[in-house]
Amino acid sequence: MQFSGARSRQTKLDRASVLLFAMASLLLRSGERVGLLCADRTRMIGSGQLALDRLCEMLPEQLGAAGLPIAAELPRHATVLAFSDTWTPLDAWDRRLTQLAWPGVRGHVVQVIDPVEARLTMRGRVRVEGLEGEAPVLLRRAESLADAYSTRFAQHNDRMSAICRRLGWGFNRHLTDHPPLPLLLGLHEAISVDRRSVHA
Amino acid sequence: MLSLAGILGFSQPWVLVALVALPGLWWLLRLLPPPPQRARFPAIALLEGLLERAESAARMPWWLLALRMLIAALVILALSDPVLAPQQRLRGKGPVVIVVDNGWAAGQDWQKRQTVLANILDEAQRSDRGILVLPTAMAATAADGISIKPASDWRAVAGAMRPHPWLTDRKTPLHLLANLSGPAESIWLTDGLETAGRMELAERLQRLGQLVVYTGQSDPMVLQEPLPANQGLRITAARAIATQPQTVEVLATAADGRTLASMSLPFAAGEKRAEASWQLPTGMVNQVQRLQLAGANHAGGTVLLDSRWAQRTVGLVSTGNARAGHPLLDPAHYIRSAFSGLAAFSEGEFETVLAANPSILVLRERLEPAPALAAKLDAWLASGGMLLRFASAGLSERPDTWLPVALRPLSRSLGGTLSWDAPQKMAAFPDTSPFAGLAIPADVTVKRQILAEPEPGLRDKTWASLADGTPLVTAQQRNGGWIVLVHVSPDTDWSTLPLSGLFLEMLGRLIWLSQGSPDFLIADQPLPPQRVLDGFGNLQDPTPDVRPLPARPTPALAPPSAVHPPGYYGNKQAPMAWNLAPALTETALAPISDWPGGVAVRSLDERRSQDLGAWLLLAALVLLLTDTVLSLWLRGHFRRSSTRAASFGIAAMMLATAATQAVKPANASDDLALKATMETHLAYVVTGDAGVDRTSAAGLNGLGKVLTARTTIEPGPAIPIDIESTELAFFPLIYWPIVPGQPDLSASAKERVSSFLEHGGTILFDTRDQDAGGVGGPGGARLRSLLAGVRIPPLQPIPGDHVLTRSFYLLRDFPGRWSGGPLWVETDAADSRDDVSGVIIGRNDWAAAWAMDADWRPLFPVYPGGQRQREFAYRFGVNLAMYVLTGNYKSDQVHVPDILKRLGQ
Repeated sequence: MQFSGARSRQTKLDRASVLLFAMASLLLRSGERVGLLCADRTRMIGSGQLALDRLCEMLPEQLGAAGLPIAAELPRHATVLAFSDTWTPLDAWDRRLTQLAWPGVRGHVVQVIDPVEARLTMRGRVRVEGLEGEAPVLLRRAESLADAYSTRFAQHNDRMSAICRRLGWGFNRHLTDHPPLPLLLGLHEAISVDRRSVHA
Repeated sequence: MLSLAGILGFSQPWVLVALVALPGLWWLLRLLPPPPQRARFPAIALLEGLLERAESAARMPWWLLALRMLIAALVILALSDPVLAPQQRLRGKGPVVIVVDNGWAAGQDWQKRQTVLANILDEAQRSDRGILVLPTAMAATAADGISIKPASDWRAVAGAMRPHPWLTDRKTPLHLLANLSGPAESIWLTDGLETAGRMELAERLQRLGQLVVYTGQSDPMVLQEPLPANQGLRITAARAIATQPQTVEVLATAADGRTLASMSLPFAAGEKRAEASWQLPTGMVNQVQRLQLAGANHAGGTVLLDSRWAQRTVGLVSTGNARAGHPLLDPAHYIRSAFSGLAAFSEGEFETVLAANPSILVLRERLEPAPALAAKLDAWLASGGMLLRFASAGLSERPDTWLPVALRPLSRSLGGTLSWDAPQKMAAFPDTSPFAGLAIPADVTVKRQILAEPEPGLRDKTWASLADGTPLVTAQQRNGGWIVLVHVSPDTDWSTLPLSGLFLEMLGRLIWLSQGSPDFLIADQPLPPQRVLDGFGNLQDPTPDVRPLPARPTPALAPPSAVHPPGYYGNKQAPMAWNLAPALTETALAPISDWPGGVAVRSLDERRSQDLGAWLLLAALVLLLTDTVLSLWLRGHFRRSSTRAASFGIAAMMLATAATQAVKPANASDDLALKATMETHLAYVVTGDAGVDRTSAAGLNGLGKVLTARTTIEPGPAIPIDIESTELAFFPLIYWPIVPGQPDLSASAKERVSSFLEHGGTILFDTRDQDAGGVGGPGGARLRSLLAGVRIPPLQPIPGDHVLTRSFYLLRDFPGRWSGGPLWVETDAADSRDDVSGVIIGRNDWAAAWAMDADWRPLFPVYPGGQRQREFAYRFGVNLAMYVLTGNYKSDQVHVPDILKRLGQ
């Protein structure tokens, strides 16, 4: 997630943090309680303005951890908001989301990616290095792979989308060169509908 | 030096051995593929499994390889010091003495001399030999700095060397060579003309070592000073080699550079001189500043003219007693025939002649003019006229007032029958006389003269005298003019002077003196230089080396040289022309006939040899840069700039399309304008997706039916709009469905859409993706990219009290084919638009809900469904049409409760 395809753009991590804070702030304002799903356990934070401050303190040390969070047992009627580039293998996603989504828990997965990930724009001979310790890959003519990559990318997203749909969760894509506002409004709208049905 | 067919030579041929190594370099370069570009990429997992299909480009492309081989070959060639058009002139050892004739005759082919000189310097520099350059025409001071120096030091001197407009002096170089003791090699760039000391210099150079002489092929031709002739000039040209007939063109040029006239002057075979009279109008002769041989760009081909050559008019006052039929007995005959060759000559009554305002008025009799005429004569004298009088028997008896000296009453007879004295001969002319320098023939004798009264100033007034000291010609300056008295009669009765050539020359000098009276002929001051000629025959400002000419200069007194180059001297108004021509006598023009034995004679014609090393290195550098660029391109470094270039290309293509559309006949747009404005029409944007477009048309037509049935709005059929070309201004509402494949807008279309929105139009954007769920479906993303660059005002989800909710029906939500999608309107619609939001964005696919067939049956089902949803979709359409057509009219209802409350009270 610590990646940006252009100097002028935020990294995906920064953008995801912005989205997370914004959503937390919106939800706290409407009286919800929030918590943070971490790699080791779930940290409940609480409600109110103080909760946002505690989130500020807590979040930085949890950022940057690779892999998926723990499959904690969540309270009934909780709503999970996941911001990820979703490059962790899909089987792992499937397993983890299924574990999290026991009856009553709803959620939204937001795929935060850089535009250069959506379309393979590299050309020529390229030695590709991953960010999380993957083995480097040598592309001999990167431009010849563009179509295959697009297909692959679409397949990945379709599968991810299917996983979410099966659980009744939402799946949204967000590119870091787009403004965050439409996504936030949409997410807020969607969660409000969810919560209304919960509270009703 | 290795030389290939005289075209290309190598100074360091052993470097070429390195070319053998090129195949090895080829092998080495093929072995090493270019290193890959490195990139970090988080989605690396997606790349796995795709790699098998990648094609191999690890080998360097053959053309890049060839380019690198070419670079290597160029560098090797450059290091071997190649020379284009090499010539080997220097063979011996020791310093090289180069004698350059840069006198007047070198100007003709000076460029060739410079080329040869530069080639020799190049060659000497390559072999590290000392150089001594000896110009044969130079300023006296220039000899000091001459010593043996490396060729590089001489290059600037040689490049600045110019031919000089005077004769070569080959004795000075001989002196400069006195200290040099062999062995040395000598090269002489000669102008081919003989001067004193030439043979000695050649022999001296030969004693030092080999002497090679380069000689030009030009045959210098010179122009002599012209003589005044009747109605024009008498032109003389001379040449050095008289073999074949030849014709030269002589040009007369004015002071401002205009060519006034030209004349061809033929040389006969075997003749070294050619002469011709050149008839020119008087006014034109006076304008001529210089005569020039066409094509001769050396100083010898140019003669400068001054006021001496200006055409004079001479008037002779004739008395009525001419003895007709006996011209030789007519006293005026000798004057007439003498002047007719020198000037424009006229004859007549005193009054008539004076009225013609001649330069010289010739008078044989005594003068008793009426007072009015006397005044005119004084005025004429004051304007610079010259009154030339001859003696007559009556003059001494009754002298008048128009005489330079007082006369004794009696004339003097010599050698007569009653006289002891023999006829007198003439004495040499005094130096102060304008006649000075004329040779006096021995057969001129004077038998009778009138005598001047001895007086203190008589000596100064005397221009010519007899052997016994009695004056023969006296003159006095009066009022700025001259009065000259010849003390003999103009016929043969008194003397033999009129019969001799001297008479002609004396009259010629008088003509020079008359009118404009050149001060330089008589003044005692030195003449400062004004403009001087350079070696190519062009006038320049004088250099500090140039000294003033001595007073009354003669060619022998001040020969043309570095201190007295040809040019104009004296005062600015009437300067004296000081020409090279008098010095170009027949001996000065003699060609060199022989050289001492063992001297090699070569031609000056050769090409400048060119060092190629620097150019080859430059070419290699350019290719190296090309190679770098190509390598970077191969490694994919220009991806971004190439897409930018592509988008430029697309923009250019779109502009071109726009331009071609602009020239379409106006009829089509006129028809549309007529149709669109006859009644109100709803319009939709053609997306290119045929199904969507059909739905849009059916939907708007269905809404039209509903509007007609329920409201006063009765729209015509829906009109399709091509957003790139159709004029938008006619339509109050445009329905714009978004499909993924819609092409991007051109810059002009974006501008038109922005302008449409700002000037009161409304566009309903329908992303039609409410079914896709989630937030911001594919339509929303497409809409965002489509409208990038369109000026969209800030938007908000529609507030509950928006006019759109009650402009006709009261509505709470706005379903279409789908329900529940948000509707976005402008935050603050401008007053100028009556608070109507220009942009309305939703995702409910209204057109599909509105679409109906001819029998009012809906074409598409609505979701989640029900007649109520479709009814509300129509109600939204009605509200929308009302909203865009009536503006904020209904927003007044905000105050209705208050008004009702007040009414109730």
